[in-house]
Amino acid sequence: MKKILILLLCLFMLTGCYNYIELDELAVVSSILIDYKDDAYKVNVEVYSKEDTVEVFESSGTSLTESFTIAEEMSKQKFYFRHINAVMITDNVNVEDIIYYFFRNPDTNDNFAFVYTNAEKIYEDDEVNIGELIKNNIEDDDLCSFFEIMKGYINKLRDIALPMFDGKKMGGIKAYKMLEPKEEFSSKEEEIFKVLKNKYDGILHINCGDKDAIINIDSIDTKYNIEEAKIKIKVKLKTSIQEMNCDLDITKVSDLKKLERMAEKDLNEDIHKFMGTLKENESDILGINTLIRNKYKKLDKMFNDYDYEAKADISIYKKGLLLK
Amino acid sequence: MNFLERIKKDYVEVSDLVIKPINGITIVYLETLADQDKINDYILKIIPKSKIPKDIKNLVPSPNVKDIKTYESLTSFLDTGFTIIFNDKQIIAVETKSNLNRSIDTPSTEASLYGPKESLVENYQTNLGLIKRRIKSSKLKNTQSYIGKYTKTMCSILYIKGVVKSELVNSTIEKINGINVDGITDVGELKPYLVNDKKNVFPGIKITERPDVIANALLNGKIIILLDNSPYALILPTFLADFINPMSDKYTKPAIVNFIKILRLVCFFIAIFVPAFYVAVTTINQETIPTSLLINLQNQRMDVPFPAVMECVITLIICEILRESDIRFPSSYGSAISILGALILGEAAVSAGIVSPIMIIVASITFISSMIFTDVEIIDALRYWRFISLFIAAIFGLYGVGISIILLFINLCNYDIDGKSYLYPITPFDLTYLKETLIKMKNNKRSKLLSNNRIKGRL
Amino acid sequence: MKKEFNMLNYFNTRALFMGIGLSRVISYAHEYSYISVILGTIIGVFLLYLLKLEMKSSFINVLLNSCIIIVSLVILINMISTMYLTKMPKLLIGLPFCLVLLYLLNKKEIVLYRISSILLFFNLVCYIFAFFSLARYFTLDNFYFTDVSIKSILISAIEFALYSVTPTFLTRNSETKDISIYKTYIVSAFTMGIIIMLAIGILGSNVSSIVRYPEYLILKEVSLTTAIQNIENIVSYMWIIDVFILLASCGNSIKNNVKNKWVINIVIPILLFITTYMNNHYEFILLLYRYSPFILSGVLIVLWLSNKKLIFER
Repeated sequence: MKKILILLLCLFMLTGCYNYIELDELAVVSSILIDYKDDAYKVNVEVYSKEDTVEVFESSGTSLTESFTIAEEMSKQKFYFRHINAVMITDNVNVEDIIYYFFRNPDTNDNFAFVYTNAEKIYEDDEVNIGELIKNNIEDDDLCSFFEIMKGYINKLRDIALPMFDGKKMGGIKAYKMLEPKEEFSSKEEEIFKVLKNKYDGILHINCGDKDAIINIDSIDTKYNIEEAKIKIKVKLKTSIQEMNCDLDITKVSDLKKLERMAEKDLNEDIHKFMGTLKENESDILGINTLIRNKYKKLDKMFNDYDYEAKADISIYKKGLLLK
Repeated sequence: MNFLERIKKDYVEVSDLVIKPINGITIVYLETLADQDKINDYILKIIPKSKIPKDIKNLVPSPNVKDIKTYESLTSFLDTGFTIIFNDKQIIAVETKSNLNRSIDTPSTEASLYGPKESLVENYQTNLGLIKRRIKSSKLKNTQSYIGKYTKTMCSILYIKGVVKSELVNSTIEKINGINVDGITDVGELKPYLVNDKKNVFPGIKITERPDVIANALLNGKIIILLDNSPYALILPTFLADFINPMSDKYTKPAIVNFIKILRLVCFFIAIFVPAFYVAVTTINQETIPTSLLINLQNQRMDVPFPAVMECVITLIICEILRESDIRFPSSYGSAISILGALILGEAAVSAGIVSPIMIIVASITFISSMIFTDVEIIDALRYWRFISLFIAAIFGLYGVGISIILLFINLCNYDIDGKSYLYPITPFDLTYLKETLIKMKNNKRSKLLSNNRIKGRL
Repeated sequence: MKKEFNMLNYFNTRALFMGIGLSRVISYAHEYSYISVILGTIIGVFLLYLLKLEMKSSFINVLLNSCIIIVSLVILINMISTMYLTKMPKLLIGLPFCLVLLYLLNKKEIVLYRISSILLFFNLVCYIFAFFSLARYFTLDNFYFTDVSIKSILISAIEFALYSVTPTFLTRNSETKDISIYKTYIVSAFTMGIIIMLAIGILGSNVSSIVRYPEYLILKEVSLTTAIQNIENIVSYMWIIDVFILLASCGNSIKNNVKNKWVINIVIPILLFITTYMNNHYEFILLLYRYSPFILSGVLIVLWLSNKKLIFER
């Protein structure tokens, strides 16, 4: 019995190791740029190289797999997709193909940043690692991670909303309807988007005449109330004052309430404008259709058939170390 | 007289035999084994100038005087250092053994921070005295037997009657009486006769040189075997939990000691599986480590020409060679060797490009965690499993590490010592013995596998 | 012996869920899976109470146990081939597993019980770690409304009961008490229920219906700090332990009911070659995934037919 086992063990040594790959032969991919022109995928792959530099390989092919294979032949090593930091796509690409490609492949990780880019030249400097730049600049994993975007699309919860990258920094949102790219939002509107998604952790700007004040949001609670013909959006914020340059005296309760009123008015207007643009483009990046379907068990009226009313409730409960 | 001529004929080329006729009696002794002062005190000084009585036994003031009837007993007494007195038809043997012993020293292989610092020596009487000083009861029994045709070494089995199970004692006595060899030099040679542990690398029996360990084991219902001329004692029966936890844990608080006990159990696994895990993670399953560490490792391993498995094997074998040479080499050269070893492994190998720095860290972690165990046999058993899991992990990756964990456990679960499982407090789960060894908690009972008298604190 | 047999029972009721069981239960009963889990547990306890089946003839014993061994080996080798070692031929993946299995089966029976109580500890540690690190990704938003009829909830409950109860019948020891079997059955069904709820709460019902291994996919989300990420290969070993103990207990029951103890050394390599043949032709795997509840209910019916009189003596 023992001799048979030893023979079998020798068999293992002689057949070779299939998945064995040394670290020297591994090219760890940091970011990928995918473009589609003239019926061919054009792919740029950025790879970690020695001593904090990167190397970029460019190739094109009729399918994604073919373009990756051609890029791999240009480098002397094998690509390793399990540590991808960011994947960038452009206007012409079919987003669904990309989503299913990365989801089906067991050799890729799922928590990279999935971004949209319009820029012409991205990989110019050898010293700058674009993948790490994007990954380090993401403030909130839930909105930008590929896993969340994929789940939102396949579960038919909401339309795709990709963050935008302009070659140097992140800012803005690109909204899709079904699979068509539609509207681009700026970074200011991105803040409203985050407020409506219940995930904003930044600052609000209050305009009081010439001067301004800045308040910092500590906790946020957004609720959607669906009625017959309109949807009420209730936003409840708890904030603290960070900069106060207005001519108001915050030791008096009435002036504090006035400051809150101004902030609420600004916020309501911004939300109303944002929902108006969404309704025009019919892109449901907030997932309101799912809420309608959960309530009425059917989807007769889409979200753009409703009117929107925003009601913000801001309370300033911390004022910092100064009294005035 | 017949005997005297026989002695002269048998011991013909034995140069230290002294035959001295004095005043009508003859004294025979071996010069190297008998103490001259004692012969003077007990025999020569009391011999009267006048006629010697027929029964010389009443004259001799020695505490240990024996009558001799047969030739075999005469030679055995002569060979142990007794002086034989031939007086007409009476032959007696007087004890005059010389003291050829080492003094009681600190334990060299089992060190501890707190607790007694005595260790056993080569003299059987001294060892027994050290143990009896700690257990002062008539219930501590010790049976004696002699092993070996030429060496006639005295072997003794100690147990506390009323605590230990009688089947264990009887079976051990039978096994010892059935030994049929030329000679026995050390207690380690008795191991294969007592316990059948040939099929497994892990040791089945524990060796100790500390009397407080022995006393504690006796109180728990275990058997001790002492051998003359051997500074070690055997403890029966033993389980894996006894090797992992030394006895000095009894002398400190439970809150401190429990953390270290858990650490020792974790080190048991670290010492086996860390090189295998390293090889699996760098060659087959590279997604397990974070990205920055992976890039760092890639930069480190760029200059090394060997694959990761070979590098691992080379480093582990060099460390084993160093350890073996450190034990055998005379201590006067010792410091130069350790400096050489550190220089070889630390600086020169890395800068020469033979191994990478991370490999040295991995090897040092495995060795340091394997040196937490005091018993050398456990360290050797861990080495065996380390190489097996390394080779399986090199082919199958993390899946292989898991398979080698399962294999190790099947091997341990299959190991039976006299019908008792080797992983005793864990698999046939017994909370009382667990509180003795693997966790320290208040415990008033003895385990039911070792003793029928379960409650401590009563005779 | 009784306590140790129940630890085997804990593994046996969970083992067939990996691969086929979970995705099928979720794909029928989308967001009402908790109802189907509860119903399935009740049906399972009912089946255990009603049918007191024992192996009579050794030929049927060998046949039915080999069916279960083939099914679980196919699932296991496929999973390891997708996740851990993507390029190795499937025979070489199954080979060390079967060698370790043969090593275990050639020892005494008590070794199997001892090792199951040790592996239970590892299983629980992985399970509790996964539960506490995944709990923060659970959202109620993923339980959105889908059109699920009562019929599909009932089908899902029956499948849950089938997947969990069948191995218990095949590997049952006549010395065990019934109450302890019910206790371990309810505990392990409860742990499966938690995993199903986690899978829907984190992934959403559409995604988990199209994915083959949802229990592996949720483990990809574990991310405590930047250092402990991507450890799904280590934590998903608890599934492999489940299947290992199921295979060992099926082999043990074959060994007990056949006269010559050496037969098991021939049976398992033959089964390994059959699974390799099936793995290399993808249509067998598709058939297995589509008709697996029928295969399992067929096993139960054959058992019942060979034990007909016992059902009324209950």
